Amino acid sequence: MSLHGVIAAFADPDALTQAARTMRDKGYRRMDAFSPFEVRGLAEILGMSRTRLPWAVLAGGIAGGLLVYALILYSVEIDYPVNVGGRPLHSWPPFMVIAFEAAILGAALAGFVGMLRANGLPQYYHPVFNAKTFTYAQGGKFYLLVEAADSKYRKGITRRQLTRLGAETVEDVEA
Amino acid sequence: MRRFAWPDGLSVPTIAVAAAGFLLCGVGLFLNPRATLAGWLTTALFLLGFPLGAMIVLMVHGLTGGRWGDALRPPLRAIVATLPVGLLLFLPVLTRLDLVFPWVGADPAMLPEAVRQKLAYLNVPFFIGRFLICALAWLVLAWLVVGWTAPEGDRSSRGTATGYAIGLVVHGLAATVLAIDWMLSIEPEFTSTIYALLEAAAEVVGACALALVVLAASRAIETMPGGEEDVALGEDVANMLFGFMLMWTYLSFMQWLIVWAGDLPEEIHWYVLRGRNGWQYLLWLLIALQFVVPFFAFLIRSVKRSHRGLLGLGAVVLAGHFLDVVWRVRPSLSAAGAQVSWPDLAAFAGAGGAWCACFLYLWARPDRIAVRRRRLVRG
Repeated sequence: MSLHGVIAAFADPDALTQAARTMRDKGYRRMDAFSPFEVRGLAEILGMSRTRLPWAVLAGGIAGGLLVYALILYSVEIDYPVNVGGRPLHSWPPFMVIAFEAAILGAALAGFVGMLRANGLPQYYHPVFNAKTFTYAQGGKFYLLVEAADSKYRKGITRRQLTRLGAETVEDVEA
Repeated sequence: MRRFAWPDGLSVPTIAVAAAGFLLCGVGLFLNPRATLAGWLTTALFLLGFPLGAMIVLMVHGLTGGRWGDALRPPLRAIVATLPVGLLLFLPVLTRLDLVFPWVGADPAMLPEAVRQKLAYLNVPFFIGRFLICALAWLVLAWLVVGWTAPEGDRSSRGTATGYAIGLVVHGLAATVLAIDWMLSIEPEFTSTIYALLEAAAEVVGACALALVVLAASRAIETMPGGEEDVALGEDVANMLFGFMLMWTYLSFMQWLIVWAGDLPEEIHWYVLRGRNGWQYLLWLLIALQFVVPFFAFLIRSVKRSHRGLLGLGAVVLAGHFLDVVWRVRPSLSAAGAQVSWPDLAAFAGAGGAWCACFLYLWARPDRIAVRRRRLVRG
């Protein structure tokens, strides 16, 4: 069995934040944290990049609006032109409403799909669930995972560092 | 709370501008009463919109609560307290209704059939009576709202949800009468059931934009804590203004869409008149200022978090709101196209200066509102 990393459980969010900051200062880069609720500032400490989701949502909105407007244009100009009360075939005021709603739909879908992609979902296997301290029975704590792939990772040393930082338990995680 | 001293320093120039404007308007009433009253009515409707819109925001906030409203409250209260001045601005028009409204003093036989049937509603005594009732309702409402939202008020004088709700209902009725009587009846053939709500939405946008400008100009609003952690108050207020602006956009577009789809001569004429002779440029400008520019600026977080961004956004929306009122009211009052005449400028300077002076007087020292209010109680 190869080693995925080492996971440390902390009692409260402050201890986790403190530990993450210290480990980051020591030069660890490949770390991940788990907590039952959002811990402010943790993402910045772990060096996570700013979310690009707003751009995905914007692109989805524009794409949805343009696609549906093009579809309407195609159907009224080419596929099935009908004269309705003498109005021009390209009657943009009512088309705007449908294009707008399609833009909202596109933005929402892009947000949904983009959120899943950004979180790496759906993921059917993750080694962290091999840790005994991460189970439902013993869970609910604040965890810091240091991956074995980290260039600073040394089995015994990393373990001791985490214990010194106040970890309640430190456990190896098998891949 | 300490405020900067600038409003009192500005009162002398504004009063001077107002005096010059009044003088020119007096001259204009002799030389060209029709044009002067047209400019005056447009300005008066624009200015009355501020206290009415501020009243809506205060009452809605009284029902919903939230930190954004606590910050907006001082400027909004000062705006509501200017209501008597806004109503007084209508007196010059009341004396010469025949120069503004085509249904006044006209021979009924000469009027179109559709307008002749409306004369049971559109006649001078009923018109003035409605205006007086609405003015009275608003004065009472403004009086109550200013009292309910007083910062030093004890628990017993706080507004109740019932009070705010009834106030909103009464205000909705009065605003409908105002929109129909003073805006739509300038073109008595045109009807639009959405128009009163559109006018109310525009008033809210105007009042909120003005409050944002005033707040950002006098204090660093972007550093005050907002409703949530990590969110500045400036961002909250900007988001509220964004919502109000979208409401206005939606209603404006819906009226246009329905009238365009119906394509009936007496309805589409309203837009035809406003789409040529130079008014179309004003329309494009107001769409840019009150929708396109703020829409994209409001989406960018860094704009909402910077002092200059907030100030600029408020000013742009405010300018757009002014153009919107001019575009809705002014075209039907002038035979010529969209050109700025000196009576327009004089009316804007006179009425605008007088209202601004009153607003600055109340905003510089909010306790003046309470003092005026108490004096009124004692009689």
